[in-house]
Amino acid sequence: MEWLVTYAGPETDDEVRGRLRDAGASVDPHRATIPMGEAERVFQISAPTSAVGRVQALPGVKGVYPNSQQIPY
Amino acid sequence: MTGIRVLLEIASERPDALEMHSAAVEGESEAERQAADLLSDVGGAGIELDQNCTPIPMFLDVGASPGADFIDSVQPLHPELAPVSRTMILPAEISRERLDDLRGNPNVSIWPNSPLTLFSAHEAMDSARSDGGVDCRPFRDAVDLAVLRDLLGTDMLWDSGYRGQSIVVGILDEGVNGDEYPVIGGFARPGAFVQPGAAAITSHGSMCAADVLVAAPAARLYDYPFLGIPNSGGALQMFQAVLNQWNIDGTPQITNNSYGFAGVPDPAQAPNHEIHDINHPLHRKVREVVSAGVACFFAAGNCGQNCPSGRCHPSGIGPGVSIHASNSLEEVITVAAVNSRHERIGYSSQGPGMFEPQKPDVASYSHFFGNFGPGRPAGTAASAFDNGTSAATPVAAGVGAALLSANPGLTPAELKLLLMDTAIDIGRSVGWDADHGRGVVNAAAAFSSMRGRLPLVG
Repeated sequence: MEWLVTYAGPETDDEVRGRLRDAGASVDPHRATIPMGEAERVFQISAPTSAVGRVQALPGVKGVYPNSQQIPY
Repeated sequence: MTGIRVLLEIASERPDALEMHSAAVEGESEAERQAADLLSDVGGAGIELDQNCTPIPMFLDVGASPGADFIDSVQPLHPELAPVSRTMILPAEISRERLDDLRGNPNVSIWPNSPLTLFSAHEAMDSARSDGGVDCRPFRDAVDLAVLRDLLGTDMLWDSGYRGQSIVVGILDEGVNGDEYPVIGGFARPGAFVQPGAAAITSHGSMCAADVLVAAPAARLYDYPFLGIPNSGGALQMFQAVLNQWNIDGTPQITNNSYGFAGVPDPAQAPNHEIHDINHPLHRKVREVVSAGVACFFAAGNCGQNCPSGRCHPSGIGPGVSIHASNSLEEVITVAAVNSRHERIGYSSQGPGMFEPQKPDVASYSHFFGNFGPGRPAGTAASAFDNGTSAATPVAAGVGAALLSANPGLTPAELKLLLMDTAIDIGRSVGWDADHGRGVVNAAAAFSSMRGRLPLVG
């Protein structure tokens, strides 16, 4: 499944991607992170539902949200 | 008699002019008597009065401003006062010889009595209902752009010079055809399949582009094609691109968002789904963009209870469950769909919204020949037309663009309030309702309201 991970911390994007991979997520290294407010960044990841708990438990991770499909109206 | 139709204005100072006129209206013989009296002063030869004409008193001389005496005399608070006529008007047909003769009479003025016609603009309004109704399968025929513009009242803005110029509308969608529509920029992820301006003319984004230009033909467009990977992460990235561009040069001033979800997941299974969690990053980013100064128009959705789109999941059909996610944020402008007869199109999603209950905010027009249809850029098939709340939303966004070209200082909240306060209230209740919001957007009414109290460009 696709997820959006909000993260706040001093680590670089690549360092965070490494931690996310270690937790079982797949992360596209070429996909830019999205700044959220002044302190947070958003990472787009793919991960099985079973890995979400591990991602959520990582230091600096504020939330893990679905990245759901939308359709044209 | 074959003469020239004129209005004869004959000097006649009378303190009982109103009483005389009432008597003339009541009885044909009295009208004829009064007319004969007036003509006796100038000679009636060569003058044929119009049938059923009644002399009309005039109380002010040419060029005179109404004084306090006149104003007091026509107030219902002063029945004892009566205005004194200065002249009387008689509609008549007159020979050319007699016309030349009368032109030398200081007690007579001659005015044209020209034929009037009904403006065609009234035809569109006359077919529009005010008490609601539902347009469901088979849908009523689509209408052309002229009807739509009559209904919106775009002439008032355009005649004042406001056609959306200097305004850029961002289209977050499948992509826009830049050969046909004025795409001047945008954003795509590196290596993305569709780059700004490169989409097919038949794309959903091209339809949205066409529909922005209905009311704002001088607006320009940014293309943010993300629906090729249609997930909220893509939308999030596009809204960030909007924010980046806004930070550089103050554009786009508006975004159009004709997409969303078609079902409601079980909140127990997905409590932080976009539909349930207002703190989802996408919603937070949308709020950032609006608070920066960009007005965001969102389609209500196509899952209304009467004839929902075939893509709708039963969990998301009907009142209370069909307007959700960013489309139901308080900060955005949520648009429902009506046809040219002011009937709710039966698939248009219905409030209350799942975040902000009072959704939709307004309604706008769909089912017209904009991008699709005979003679239109995307085809000639008579059965094809611009449709969905997807089409209604950019029509409203275009009205917003035209208004912003008159007053670029309007904040998103002010623009939203202006559109809501001046919308045509339809349906069987007064004020907001869950089918139409505050009513159908109207460019003329919004501009009139703004013109009276806000500074305008130029």
